[in-house]
Amino acid sequence: MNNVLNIMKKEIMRFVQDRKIAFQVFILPGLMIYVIYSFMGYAMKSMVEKEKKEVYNVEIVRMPQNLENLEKDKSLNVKRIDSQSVKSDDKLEVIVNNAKEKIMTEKLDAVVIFPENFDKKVSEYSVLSSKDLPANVEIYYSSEYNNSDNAYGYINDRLNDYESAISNKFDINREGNKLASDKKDNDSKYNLSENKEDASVKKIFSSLLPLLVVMLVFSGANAAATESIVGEKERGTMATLLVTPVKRSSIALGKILSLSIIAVISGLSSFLGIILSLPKLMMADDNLSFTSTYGTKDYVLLIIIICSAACLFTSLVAIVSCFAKNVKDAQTALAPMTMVIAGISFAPALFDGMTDKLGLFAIPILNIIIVINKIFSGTYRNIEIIVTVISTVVCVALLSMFLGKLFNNEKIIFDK
Amino acid sequence: MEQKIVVEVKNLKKTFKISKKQQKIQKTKEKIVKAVDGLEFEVNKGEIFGLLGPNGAGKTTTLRMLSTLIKPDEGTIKINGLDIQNDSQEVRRQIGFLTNELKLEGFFTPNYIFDFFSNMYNIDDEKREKRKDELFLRFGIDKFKEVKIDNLSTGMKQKVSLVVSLVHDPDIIIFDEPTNGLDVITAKTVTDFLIEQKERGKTIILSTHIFSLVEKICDHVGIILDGKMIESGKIEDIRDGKTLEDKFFEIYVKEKGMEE
Repeated sequence: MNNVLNIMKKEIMRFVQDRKIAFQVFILPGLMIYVIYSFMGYAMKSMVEKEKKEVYNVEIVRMPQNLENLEKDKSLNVKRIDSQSVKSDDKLEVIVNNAKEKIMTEKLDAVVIFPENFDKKVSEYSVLSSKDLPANVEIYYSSEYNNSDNAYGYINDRLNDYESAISNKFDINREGNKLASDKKDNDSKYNLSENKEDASVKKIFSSLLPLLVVMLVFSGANAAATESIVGEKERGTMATLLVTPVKRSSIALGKILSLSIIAVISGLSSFLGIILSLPKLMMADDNLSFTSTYGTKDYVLLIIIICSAACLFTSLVAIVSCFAKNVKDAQTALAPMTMVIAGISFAPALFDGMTDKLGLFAIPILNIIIVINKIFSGTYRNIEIIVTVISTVVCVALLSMFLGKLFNNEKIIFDK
Repeated sequence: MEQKIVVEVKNLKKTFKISKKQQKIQKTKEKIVKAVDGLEFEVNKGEIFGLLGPNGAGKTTTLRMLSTLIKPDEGTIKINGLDIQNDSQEVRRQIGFLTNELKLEGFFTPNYIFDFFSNMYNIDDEKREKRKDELFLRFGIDKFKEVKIDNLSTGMKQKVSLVVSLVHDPDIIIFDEPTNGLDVITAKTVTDFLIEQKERGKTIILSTHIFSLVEKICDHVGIILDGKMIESGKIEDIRDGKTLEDKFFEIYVKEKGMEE
C-alpha cells in the first residue's frame, strides 16, 4: 500500500507542482468554460434586449377596426393609410411601391396591406362552409435587414394571436393564462408537483448536464492518463519504475488512483465553470441556481459518481495508452472512445421508461450516465447508486489488474 | 577458497521480431533476429565481470534480461539462487540496474527522485538521508540537488541516474556502458566508485566496448559476438600475453572471417 501511495504522490506532484500543467489541467478548463459561456449569455441577452426595445416603423393600409389596438402597441410606430387613399388599384400600387422603396432604404420596416372589408370577411368566413379562400393579409418586408425581418415576425405574431382569439373554441387552464403575473399562483392549482420551480430547473439541468459532466471527466482522464502512461513510456521513465521491486499491479493501481484524482479535479473545475456560467448562458433569473436546487446529499452522491467515473475512464484510457507508441498515437486511438462515450451519454433518452430496472445499473459507463441524469432530475434510488458504484469499482479493479499485466509485457512497454 | 556464484546464466536465448523497414535496412529476409543465442556465464561474489562486444552483439539485451526488464525465450538466469522469472520481485530488490534507456522524470529534482526511489525500496528515512548525502557528495550532485533534472548537464543527469540505481545499496550492480558519454573526470569517478564497491564485496556486471575500462577494473571478461559468448574467463587468460584490444580483434576476425 505504501508503494501505491508513493506512486500516487509522485504522479500528483508532477501535475500540481508544474505550474504550466497545473494551470492547463485544473484552472484553464473551468475558466475557459466560464468565460465562453458567460460571453455567449451576455451576447444573447443583449440581442434579446435590443429586440425588446426596438420600435418598428410600419405602414398599415386599410387598418381593420378590430385591429386598431396595433396603433397603441409600444413596439410599433404605425402610419395608417385609410381605404379612401387606396380606392383605385393604381393608387394602391403607388403606395405599395413607395413603401417597398422605403423598406429597401431602411426608412420603413414593413408595410401591411389588409383587404377591403377585412373585419366583415373574417366574421363571415367559415372553414367548413365557405367556398372562397379566407382573407389574405399582405406584409412586405426585407429579410436582409434585421429590423425589417423582426418587424415581420412581430406583426405576424400579433395577427396570429388575433386569429387564435377569434376562432377560440376552448381554453386550457384558463386561470393560469389570465395574467402573466398570476401565473405562479395559478400554476399551483393545476401543477401538483410540490417543488414546482425546483422540478422545472432540475429538468433543465438533467437534460443539459450529464453529457457535459461525463465528457469533461473523460477529457480530464484522457489528458492525465495519456501523459502519464504513454508519455512515461515514450520518455523512458516507465522502465525506471519497472526495474524497482514494486509489484506491477501496485504501479498500475497507484497511477490509476492518482490520475483519477487529477481527472476529478479537472472535471470539477470544468463543472464549476458550467454551474457559475449556466444562469448567464441561459439568460435566466435567480431561480435557475444550481446551489439552491440541490441539497448536500445530491452533491455528495454526484461527487461519488464523478469519482467512480474518473477511475473508470482513467483505467480505460490508461489501457489504450499502454498499447500506443506515443502520445499522438494514443490520442488518435482514443478518439473513437470519446465518440462512444458521447453516444452513450444520450442513453437516458433511449432507455426512457426502462431506467427503473436495476440490472441496467450493473452496466459500466451506461450506469454512470443514467445515475447522473437521475441525480440531476432528483429521481434516483439509493440502491441504483450502490449498484453503480459497486459495478464501477469491480470494473476498475479488473482493469487495474489488466494494466498490471500489460506492464509485465515487454512487447507493450518497450514498443516505441 | 571456493567462491560463491551469485549470477548463473545458462543457455540464454532471446529473439526479436524485426519490422519490414529494419529488414530493408539490414538487407535480410529473416523476420526474426537472434539477439542472444545460447549465452552461458557465471559471476562470483565480489567480482567485476565485463561483457565486451561491438554494438548489436547482445550485451544490453543480456543485461535487460538479468535485470528482469525482459524475459528470456529460453534458458535460465539465477541471481543469488533466485530465478529471474519466478522471483523477479526479489531479484529486483537485490540488483541495481543502470542503462541509457532508463530515464528520470525531468520535472523533478535529484533530491525528490532519490527520496521517491528510496521509498520504492522501503528504505527508512535515516538510512536514506545518510546514503543520499554520501552519494550526492561523492558524485558532486549535492550542489545541484534542488535543480530540475531537465536543467542538468548530460553528465550530471547520468550521475543522478547512477546514484538513483544505487539508492538501496544493492549487492549486485548491473551497469550498461556506465562511462558512455561521460567526460574523463566523471568517468574516473565512476570507475573508482566501482572498484570501491568491489572492495566492499559487491558483485558487478558491466557491459562496455572500452577495452581500457575492462582491463582496469574487471576480474573476468566475456566476449560476445552475434549473441554468442565467444570467449569467457579471467582477463589474463583471455589476453594470452597480448593486449585485450589485440586479442579482441584477433577473435573478431576469426569469427567474422574478415582480414585485419
